[in-house]
Amino acid sequence: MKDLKHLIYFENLLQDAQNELVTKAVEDGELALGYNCYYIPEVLLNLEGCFSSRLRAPNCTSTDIASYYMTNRTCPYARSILERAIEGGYNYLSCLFGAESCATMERMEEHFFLINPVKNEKFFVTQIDPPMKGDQTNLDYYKAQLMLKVVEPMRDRLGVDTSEAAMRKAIEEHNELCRVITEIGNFRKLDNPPITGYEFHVIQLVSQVCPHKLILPYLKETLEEIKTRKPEKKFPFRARVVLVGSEIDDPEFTKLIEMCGAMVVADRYCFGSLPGREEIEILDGETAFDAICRHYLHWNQCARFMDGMKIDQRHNEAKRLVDEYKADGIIYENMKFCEFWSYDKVLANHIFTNEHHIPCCTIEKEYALGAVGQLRTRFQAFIESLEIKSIQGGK
Amino acid sequence: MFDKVIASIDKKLERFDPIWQAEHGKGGQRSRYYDKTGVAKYREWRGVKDTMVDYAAWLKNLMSMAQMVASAPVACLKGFWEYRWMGSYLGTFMFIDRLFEGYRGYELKIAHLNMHAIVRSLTKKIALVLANDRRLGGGPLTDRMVPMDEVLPPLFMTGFKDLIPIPLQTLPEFIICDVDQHIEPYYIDVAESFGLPADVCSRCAAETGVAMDDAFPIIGKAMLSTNMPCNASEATSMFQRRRIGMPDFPVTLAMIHNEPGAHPYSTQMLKDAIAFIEKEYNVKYDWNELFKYAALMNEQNTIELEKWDYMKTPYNPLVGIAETLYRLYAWASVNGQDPYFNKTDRKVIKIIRKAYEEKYEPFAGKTRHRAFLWGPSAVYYTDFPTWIQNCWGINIVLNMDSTMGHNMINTEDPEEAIKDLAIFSEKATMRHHAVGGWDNVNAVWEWAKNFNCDMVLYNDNIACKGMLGVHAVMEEQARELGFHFIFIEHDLEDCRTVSRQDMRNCVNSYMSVVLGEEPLDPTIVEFDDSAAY
Repeated sequence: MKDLKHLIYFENLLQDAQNELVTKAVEDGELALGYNCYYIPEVLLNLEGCFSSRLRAPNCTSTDIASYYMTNRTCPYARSILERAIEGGYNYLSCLFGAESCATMERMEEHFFLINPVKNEKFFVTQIDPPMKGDQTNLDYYKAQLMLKVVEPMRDRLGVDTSEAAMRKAIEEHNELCRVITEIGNFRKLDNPPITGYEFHVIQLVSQVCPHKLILPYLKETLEEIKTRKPEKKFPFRARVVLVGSEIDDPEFTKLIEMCGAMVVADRYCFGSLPGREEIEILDGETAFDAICRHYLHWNQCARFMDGMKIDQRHNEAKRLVDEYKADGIIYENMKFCEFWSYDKVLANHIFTNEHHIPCCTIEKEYALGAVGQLRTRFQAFIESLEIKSIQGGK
Repeated sequence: MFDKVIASIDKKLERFDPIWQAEHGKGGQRSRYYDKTGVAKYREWRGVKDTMVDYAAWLKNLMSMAQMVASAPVACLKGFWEYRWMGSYLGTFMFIDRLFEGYRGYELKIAHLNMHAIVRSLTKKIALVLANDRRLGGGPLTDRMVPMDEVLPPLFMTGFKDLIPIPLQTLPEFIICDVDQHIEPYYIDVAESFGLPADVCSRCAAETGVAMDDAFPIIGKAMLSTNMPCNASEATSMFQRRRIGMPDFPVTLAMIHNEPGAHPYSTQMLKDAIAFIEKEYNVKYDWNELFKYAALMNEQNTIELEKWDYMKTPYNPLVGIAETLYRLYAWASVNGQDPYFNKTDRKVIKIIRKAYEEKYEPFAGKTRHRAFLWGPSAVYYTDFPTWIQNCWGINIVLNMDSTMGHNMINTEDPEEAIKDLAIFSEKATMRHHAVGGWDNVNAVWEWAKNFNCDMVLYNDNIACKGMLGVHAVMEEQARELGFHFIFIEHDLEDCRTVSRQDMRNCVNSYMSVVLGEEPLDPTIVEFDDSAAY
């Protein structure tokens, strides 16, 4: 396929948390609001006068100082973020909206006020206590937490307009971006898609780490380009897989899978678009804020949910993606030391393999892609098994 | 006259006393053991009076065991046949013996009063569960039992007059790991054989293994799981609900629980849990019944607060593991449900008051340091506080888990009572100070200061993501505030990763290299107890 016009530009934007679009927005007087987790609704952080910045630590190869603070037995994503903060990589942030999504995340975020690594006078940190079930009691708590720890600090400490009208406008803009990304992502459902999983991963990531207003024109142009882009004459991959699991913010990981021969047709992981890019609908009689909370609690697929309904939803959603995106199997990953996904990986592997009869490969990964030899071998073997299964007619 | 005779016998036989032996370079606590094991060649000689106290307690515990078997002989027999963990309870006597090595006088009396309350309660519970376990044929109370996560305080369940809340993991996992260090690695291996990584919390891995190995007794009609205390505990609940296959309700109390906004949520969660049980068991909640047991819990907590006042002084005979284990069991497992614990508390506080009046110093005044034990302790090394006192003279004054919910519960107004229960329940085992934000962890210094401690022992569970995340900041704080501070690495329930000796070495190194002190008993500085229960 012909290269996408903006792909190299997008790749360059992913080389640093403070990329050129972030710098431009901050210079224009916009407030950069950091967050790590889906539990913090991105749309709230894109109210007028501010923009969301989902934290990554690209090219982080050593976490020596963060490991001093948090030991080397904790999640490498969390440590890499702390390391990058200590290096001064997030000085553009006005605040960090954290979530006690897991113990390590909470501790990492605490270091943002304990050792003050972000050199910005305005900077502050709040942490929500996110819900663990999808019922009404938890929705009410989620609303209360977001109001107390996100909306009110934005209004009172940063002077952001958090009115109903402002939120409705933010939802409209957010939905526009979601429509573009979803439309791009839907091409992956085709038998011979005009986009690779890697390219989509890059596009999805830039939409999360760049100011929406500045990145949207590029995304729209890319969508138009893909509409007329000619795919390869023959589907160039040997298999199609859905990638499920915890945090993946390095498109090189998707590239690794695709270089082994399987196209990543659906991205159901933290930083992925499924969920992440569904449009927010405001129901009759509902406030914009209530709609946001309901939407994010409904779509959230985090492995920390404990109730049967959400656990089943998590696995059913992965199954739906396999069907809808015509995938041959699932790669289920967890970040090393992630307790939630470590457990869910074991359960999901059993459910997919024995109940849904979907081939499933489970792997554990580091944040920084270093020694990929073992992973490559695992992927190659899995893809080979999918191929054999396909040759044998699914038996 | 009688005392003179006893004193004369004690003098003649003092060479058999390990404390005397250690003082005179003739041996010590470890001298009476077979190498590598926890098997002693003979019982500890403590002088005539204390040996009799110890032996009488041994007999009393034996009676409880016999009553357990007599009350459900067939079920107990079947239990031994069905469950691997049941066999480990045979090590209970060795377990108790090693807990109270070196204890004399008031501290010994209190230790045995507390321990017997645990043995009495636990043996009854084992018999009750086995006699109604569906795997063993069930019983008349099977459908009246409510299996619930052991970390969820059961006090609020006492409002169901006809139901019996049973902490599900206590028998096959949490308590038995205290008794036998070799039992849980089997279940951990079961979980890991299904692909669970070895770096998750071993307690939760063991629970997962117990579920996968079908080693949980099957009782009740619906279960209550919980998000407490932490991430891995939440995750293992997924397996337990699935394997046990009953309707379940996760009681997810607020994680960041030190903020006012958390309590209304936790209150509503308890109300939801009550509604769930009412529906599943077709019963009605009785607030007066709750008030009755809440009053017992309040009395226990009132006495506990008085105990804390004495603990701040050097004249407190409720020490080390006698305090820690009792408080853990009495709070987490009994939680106001058994008046025998109130009776025990009343007896114990009387002894403590008397000891204080007499200016009685435990361990013959050999304590050199007063330590606060912070973080979840290694369950496979329950007698660690005993060892550290006997070896280095470090008295563990209070343990983090002893600070669990000590607010009083309203016994008149249901709405106020449930609010109090929410706060009380949020501060449960391994949770009050290990989970819920930096301020909770950082509270250690205030606690240590208030209890006149010069040392903080920081339990460093190598798989506890929450406590690992504050490693350096805690160390820096200790340095700044002038506390002796020791990280004690352990793996909670897996003695293969960090052995008991590895744990001892953390202390040995600090005491000898940093503080330059000599051990009180050189026979227990370094020894192999890897094959012991």
